[in-house]
Amino acid sequence: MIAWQRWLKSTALPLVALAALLVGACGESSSNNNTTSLNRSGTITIWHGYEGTYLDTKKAIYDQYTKLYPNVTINLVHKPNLTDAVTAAAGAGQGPDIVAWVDDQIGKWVKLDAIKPMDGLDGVDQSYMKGQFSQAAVDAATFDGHIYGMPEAVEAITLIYNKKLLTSDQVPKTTDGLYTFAKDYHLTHPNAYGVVWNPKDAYFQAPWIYGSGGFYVKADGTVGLNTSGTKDGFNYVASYKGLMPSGVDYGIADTLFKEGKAAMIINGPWSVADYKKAGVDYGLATLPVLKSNGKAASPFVGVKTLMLGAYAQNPALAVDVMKFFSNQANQTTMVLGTGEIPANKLALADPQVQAITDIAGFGAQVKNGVPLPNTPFMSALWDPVAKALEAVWTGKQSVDSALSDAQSAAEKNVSQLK
Amino acid sequence: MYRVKAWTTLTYLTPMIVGVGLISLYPILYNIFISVTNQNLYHFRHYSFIGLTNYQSLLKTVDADFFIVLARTVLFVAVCIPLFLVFGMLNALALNHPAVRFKAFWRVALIIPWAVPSYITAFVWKFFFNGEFGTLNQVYRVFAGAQAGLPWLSDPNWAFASVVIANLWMSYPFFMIVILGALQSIPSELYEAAAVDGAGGLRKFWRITLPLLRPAILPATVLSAILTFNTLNTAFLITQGGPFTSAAKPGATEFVMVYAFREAFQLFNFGYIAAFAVVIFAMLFGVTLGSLRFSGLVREEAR
Repeated sequence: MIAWQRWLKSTALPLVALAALLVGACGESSSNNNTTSLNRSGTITIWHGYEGTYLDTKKAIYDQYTKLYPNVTINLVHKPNLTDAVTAAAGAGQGPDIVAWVDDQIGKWVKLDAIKPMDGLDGVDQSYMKGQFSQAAVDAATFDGHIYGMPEAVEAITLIYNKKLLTSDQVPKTTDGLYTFAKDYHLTHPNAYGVVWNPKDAYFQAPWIYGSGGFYVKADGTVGLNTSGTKDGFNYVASYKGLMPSGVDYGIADTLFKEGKAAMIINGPWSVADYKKAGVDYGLATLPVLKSNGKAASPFVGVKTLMLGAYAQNPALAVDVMKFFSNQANQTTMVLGTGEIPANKLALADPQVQAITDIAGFGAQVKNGVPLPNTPFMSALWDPVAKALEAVWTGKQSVDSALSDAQSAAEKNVSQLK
Repeated sequence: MYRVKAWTTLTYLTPMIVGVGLISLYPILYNIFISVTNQNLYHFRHYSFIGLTNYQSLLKTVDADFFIVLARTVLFVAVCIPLFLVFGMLNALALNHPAVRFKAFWRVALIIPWAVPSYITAFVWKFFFNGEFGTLNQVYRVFAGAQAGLPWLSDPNWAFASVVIANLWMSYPFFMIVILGALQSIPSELYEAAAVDGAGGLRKFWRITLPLLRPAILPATVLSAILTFNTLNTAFLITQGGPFTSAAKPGATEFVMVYAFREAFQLFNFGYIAAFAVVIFAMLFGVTLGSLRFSGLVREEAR
């Protein structure tokens, strides 16, 4: 095929030549040693989206590695639009050695040949993963039976409340309680809201939908928007019409909570540093239990993961860097600096880590969560679900017709991806 | 007669041929090639030839996305262009009028919308239109009561109007400049002669100003119509193509380029959207050629 030949000429041949050189070089050095020892020299490029404290804390760990092994250089490259950059680079047959991002991109990037599995490299296998990380994190990093990532931190949305506006025992425990609280609060405070969140995004509605037994898409491509669980979740979100500002989105919800105009918000660990800065005295609570089936609302659990780039020139060294970064000692240091919830279960069990209330709070919510789907079919769902939520929220469609349109649109998208 | 060898000519032309080939021809041919394949997220490197299937799903039914998006975009152009013309013309006439003082200041002030990067303007307008906190609704509430508000971005028709307003703000200075330049090149003797013959202000405008502006306005209109047809920034940054009234239909401001952007870079249907681009390209190419011929702007050089 034409495209294949072009690709062969432009990319594959130079790569093969390069690989031959590398193999030659490696062969010489490893011939004297046994197979497990690793030649720790070279340059590792990491694409990431870290900023501020996150970046400083994580960079310190990589600096330690290069101090231990002075022949290794680690380039941390900040990519403002990381997912687009990785996708574009993969199209051109390029990319970094390591990508640091959330696991929901794994399926897509595997299909795009942007990342590659690391089973068997530097002693990484399922038993190593299970010894280090929580089961949810291992599942998130696994796709089609292969290990594609080294988890660092997990995140899920939870209920955050303003301690000045309500006490911890006033925080509703059930979905009905949350609804009643929002209604009463808005009646008594006409310019403020009981609870806010972004009601037009698939990620933020997962707690209600997955809690009710609904789902977006399965790994085999089955779309679940017409299931009764998904309908229940949609109906619950729609019942908040009039109890949140009509134009509410992520930014507006965030601002309302910061300004004390919302008593509670549903948001993730990334947001609390800003609330602290804005002077909000906040507390964390788990999302309420669903009235319909008595189950806890289940948010998506995303796992921040280090992935091995498909074009990594020294995969074993890259994996070694990842293993160093994600070990118990370094993850403990990291989360003490950033306040993230570690995916490394040994670090999470550390008493110093457990003493941080934010980590304990979000950690409790993570236990009720479901893994953020890492199937590439999920990319076909975000858009139809968001449109259906918008149509319902603005009153243009009923829940039933919005979901049946979204089901057919999503099925069409999925079939194009198959 | 002095003759140049063919290869000399070719050598001199090489930089241009290479440039046009790389920048213009190669992407078009590559796009046509992709449009007959099934390239998408699952078939990114290893895609295969599927013939005209993409074109079939594009044009299969009358209520296909393609026709909805196309009709909306044509309507958008049809609404925008007359507004550009009227606003550009009014401002140019005012700037050209002898009674107007501080002309240099006004000229700069009126060009500012054109000089500001369009994404900044788009975000400013997005804030103006915001239903809860936007400037427009805050002003509106002063007159209509605290609970009132216009659905600038949440109602399909209002959102369409919002994008037209923002686009007008960004585009009328272009027409103003073009028309002002043409106005200043009209000899004042014509007006004096008309005045001697007893023509009034309106009559002068219809009989002298407008006909003499025609050669300047026509190419500007064709150019601007194509640019407006290809609007991406304004619509995408203000509405993301929405508001959406159903997951199975394009949004109210999902114009041709917004649709293409969403399909290509959010859904990764490269093959399908390449076919879409080919059809749109063929249409625009035809319309442009036709309008240029029709307006007599391009004529075959007489040999």
